[in-house]
Amino acid sequence: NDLFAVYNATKAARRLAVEEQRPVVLEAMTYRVGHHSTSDDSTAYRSVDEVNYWDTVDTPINRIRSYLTDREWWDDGQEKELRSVTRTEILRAFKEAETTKLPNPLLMFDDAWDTLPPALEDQKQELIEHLKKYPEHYPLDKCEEMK
Amino acid sequence: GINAEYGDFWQDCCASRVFNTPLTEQGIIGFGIGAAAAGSTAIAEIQFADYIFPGFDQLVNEAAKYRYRSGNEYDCGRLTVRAPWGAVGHGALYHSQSPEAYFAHTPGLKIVVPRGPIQAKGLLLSCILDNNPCIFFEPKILYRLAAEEVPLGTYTIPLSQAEIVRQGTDVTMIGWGTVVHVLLEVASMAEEQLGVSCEVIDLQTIAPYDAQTIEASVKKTGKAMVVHEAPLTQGFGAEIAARLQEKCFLHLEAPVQRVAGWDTPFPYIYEPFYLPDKWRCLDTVKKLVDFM
Repeated sequence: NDLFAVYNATKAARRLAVEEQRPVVLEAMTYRVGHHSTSDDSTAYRSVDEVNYWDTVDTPINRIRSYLTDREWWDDGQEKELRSVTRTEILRAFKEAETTKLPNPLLMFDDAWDTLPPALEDQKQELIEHLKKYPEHYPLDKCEEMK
Repeated sequence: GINAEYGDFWQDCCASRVFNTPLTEQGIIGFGIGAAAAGSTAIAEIQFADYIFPGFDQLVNEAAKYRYRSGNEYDCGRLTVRAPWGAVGHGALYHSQSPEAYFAHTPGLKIVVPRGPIQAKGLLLSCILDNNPCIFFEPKILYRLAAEEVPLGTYTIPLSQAEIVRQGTDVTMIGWGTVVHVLLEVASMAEEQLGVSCEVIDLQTIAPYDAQTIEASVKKTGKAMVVHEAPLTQGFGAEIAARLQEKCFLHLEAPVQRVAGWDTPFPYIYEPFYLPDKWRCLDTVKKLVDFM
């Protein structure tokens, strides 16, 4: 969680690898703040206080922010501005991605093998016929044209 | 467990009996086989059925053959392997697979798939008590979707017994796991829209399967369809179709139909186009009924 320590360790590791031509393993220890997965409730095996500490005190972003603000190289005004600009950009990218169409559904049949075997070609035809009969039940409007 | 299957269970009983293992399926299953062979009832969890394959050799070459190769002097029948199984809406290639066909091909194993909470409890207990190594595939989409009044006491549902979930006279529909619910919906639609009466059978145990129940049904209806999420070619529907045409040939009014996933890896964004959904199933009912 110490940005400079990681930088210096990486620099040293790189020097070792390049100058001494040998493999180097860098182990960077940190703390997992979030749950393991959407199925996990980590309060079952750790305290909320413990998580809070690592989320607010010993966390790389807050530590580097303290370093910068102590030296007056960064302030709340700049922080607010950056957050606002970044948020706008992310939301714009999000909106653009959401309105982009998914590729042609028939691409689903490509790349299982290098070429389409006859049986799979038959299945593709079967899907095409099926979608012609029941288009309203499939998200075809979210996809690019079938071809 | 990855889907909170164990809950507080591990706290109540001895913590030494419910434990984590290193993340190696070959080891998880191998360890389970060893424990079972030594006399412990062992329940091994694989986090997703998609990950069971590093343990394939252990299951096929060790677990399945333990009794046979020792002339019944040894066995690992106290082993049950459980794994979340099947499509979940966003699982893509490696969180959606239905691998039952690979294992059904190996004599010595039992393969079981419940369609809901009540069956899950009864069938899992049967697997645990059964004297053969069992693989219990749990439809993961039902973990949060399905809620039933499950009886609190101990009960078992027999293995190798299919259940006729809906009686009918015109078409036999055979499935297991999540698809049974699709078939029940299709049966209603067929009744309403086509005046066709469908019999829906939940196979429950894939291997060894209850051929008697499905043969009796098909001899009655003359029209059969098998539906599964797993890819069509060499899916377990192929075994059922072969058996039905062999045993019920003179009763059949149409070829046995299979509705299945396409012969590709399980896709991510194309899942709605991949699954054997109610529209493909309904269309197959029409095809069966219109054949003659």
